[in-house]
Amino acid sequence: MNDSDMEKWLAERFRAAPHPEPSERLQQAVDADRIGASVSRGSIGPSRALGLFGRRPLLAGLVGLAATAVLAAGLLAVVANRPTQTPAAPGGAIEWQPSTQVSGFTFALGPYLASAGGRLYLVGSIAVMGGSSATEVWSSADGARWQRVAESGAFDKSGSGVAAAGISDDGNGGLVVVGSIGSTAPMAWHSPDGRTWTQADVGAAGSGELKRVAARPGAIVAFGDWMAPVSVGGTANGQRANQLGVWFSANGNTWGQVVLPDSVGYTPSALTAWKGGFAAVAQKGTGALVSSIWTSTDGRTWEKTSSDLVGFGATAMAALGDRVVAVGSRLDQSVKLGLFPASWSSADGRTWTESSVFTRDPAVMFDDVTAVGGTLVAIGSSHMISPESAGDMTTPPPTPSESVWTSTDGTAWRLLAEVTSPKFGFYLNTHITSLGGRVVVATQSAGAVEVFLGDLVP
Amino acid sequence: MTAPYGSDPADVAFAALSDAALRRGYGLAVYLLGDSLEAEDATQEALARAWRARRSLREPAAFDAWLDRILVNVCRDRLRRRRGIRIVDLELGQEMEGRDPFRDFLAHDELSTVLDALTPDQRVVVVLRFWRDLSLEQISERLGWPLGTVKSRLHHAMAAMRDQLERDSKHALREVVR
Repeated sequence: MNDSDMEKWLAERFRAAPHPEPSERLQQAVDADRIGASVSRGSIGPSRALGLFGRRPLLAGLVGLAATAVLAAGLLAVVANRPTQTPAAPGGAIEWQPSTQVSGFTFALGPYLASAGGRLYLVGSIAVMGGSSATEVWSSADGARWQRVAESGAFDKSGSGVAAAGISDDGNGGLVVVGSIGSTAPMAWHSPDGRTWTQADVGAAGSGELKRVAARPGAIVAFGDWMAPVSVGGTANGQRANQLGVWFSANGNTWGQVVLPDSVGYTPSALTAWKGGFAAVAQKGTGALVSSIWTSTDGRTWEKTSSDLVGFGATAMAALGDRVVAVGSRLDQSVKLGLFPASWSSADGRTWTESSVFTRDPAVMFDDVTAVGGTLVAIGSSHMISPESAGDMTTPPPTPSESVWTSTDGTAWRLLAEVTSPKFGFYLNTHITSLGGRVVVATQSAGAVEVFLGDLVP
Repeated sequence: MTAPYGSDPADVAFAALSDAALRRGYGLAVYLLGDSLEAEDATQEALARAWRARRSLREPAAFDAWLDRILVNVCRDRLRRRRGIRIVDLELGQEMEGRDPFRDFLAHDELSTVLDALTPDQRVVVVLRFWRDLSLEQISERLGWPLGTVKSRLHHAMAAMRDQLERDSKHALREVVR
């Protein structure tokens, strides 16, 4: 048999061979690996999908489309001040300690951080073969020594699979975790100590999703989206659409829910409690970056700010003194890659001031922010993917370059020296909080959760 | 205070592309690994890797080639780790056998036997060339291997498969004579 005969033989054999069919079990496992996206199979067709692709990764294409609209919109109807830029600080203002490995698992969701009752808590969910997920909670008194204090059984006795989406203190020394059971039933869990959890059905099963949670004394608020009847001028028009939803509770056990006004087509971005109550920011699903803010004094009645934040995409919010601050990124046509870290802040929830922020790397976004005493600490990373590396799997995607900023007023940001910043890892799974004046960052590294502790240096 | 992914439309789009590629990817993994159970694991691993790296894919049109490359790398790693020994979970294997018609094919077909005679890299080239029906240039481009390397691997693969077929036919002849 020569090569030509061999080729014919192979071609015929492969043609006659059966096509292997993937099992439902495999599809479920793949779905479970993606539970973080809350994406269900078949929710969107491939042809439509193509048009949506690449919105985030490389900004170059996006900028071309959006920047014109950004600038034409008159740069921010709500702005009171010009952006404030502060150059990189020469010295470090946070002293970081060697990191600690916490869980030996790879969280598909999380790790999310909260501090309550003088302790740190970390929650995350692991994808499990068969399409389910398992959730565990870890706790630490000092951020250096961690102990697993709860597993899935503490959340759901039926074993249906708990997926966590966020954790917060409950405003009273306890904890609240929000997420879902079996991917479709939004749930909240309340705990006095992180060990024992009480499940609360928040309603909207199959049509709602909780994505953020925050609390202040006497009020807990979860923020997400919800397929709900559309109301125009206070009257239902008979249609249903995906809108922003808020779930509120005084004790973590019984919950009410409300649709945010004028929120059709928005995607929840961030939520925080602050002196004036609560503030939530969401991004309009228009392709260009446009965000809007809703505020509430009690978590039940919400008001939308009169102007959009044009060109701004929020990723996180925090409170500092009387101010509430949203951090993220903004598009700008004047630079090659068109993306800056940016923040908006307000003292009354109505008038918002923008700050753009100095950065040493292109395409940097703020990823998360927290208040540590009287200082805001924000982490960010470059989201740029070079065209050369797109589609090239012989090398892993480039590691985003991390940056850390501090701000004492919520408007002027100081970029800390690069040498003092630890490598936090992939930006989607990195979160920040504080404990007793210390900065705490948790990230998902290879096969483990890694926690970094830092002390603010005057 | 932030959560990953959210309902980013790009993520939804990526998930849709992944779902559409599942059958094709699983088929490729089965022929690369010669084991339908291990192929499930490899496909899941490849799709999970792709999901984690989804931000690095700029052009949706490149998705199929991109995913193939990830899957091939996952399967090559598994083939190398295997070092000629196939570990089968007997209990699970028996359970699966009854509902996996492809398993019988893998166990008894001559094609499966000759593929088992190849090195991991030879097997990759043969499966992409004859099952996926890619040209040598496409294979070179898809895997990032020089074209000469692809040709060389295919040439040696053909020789190895021919030898295997001859050994099998001699063995069959001896059985008949005996």
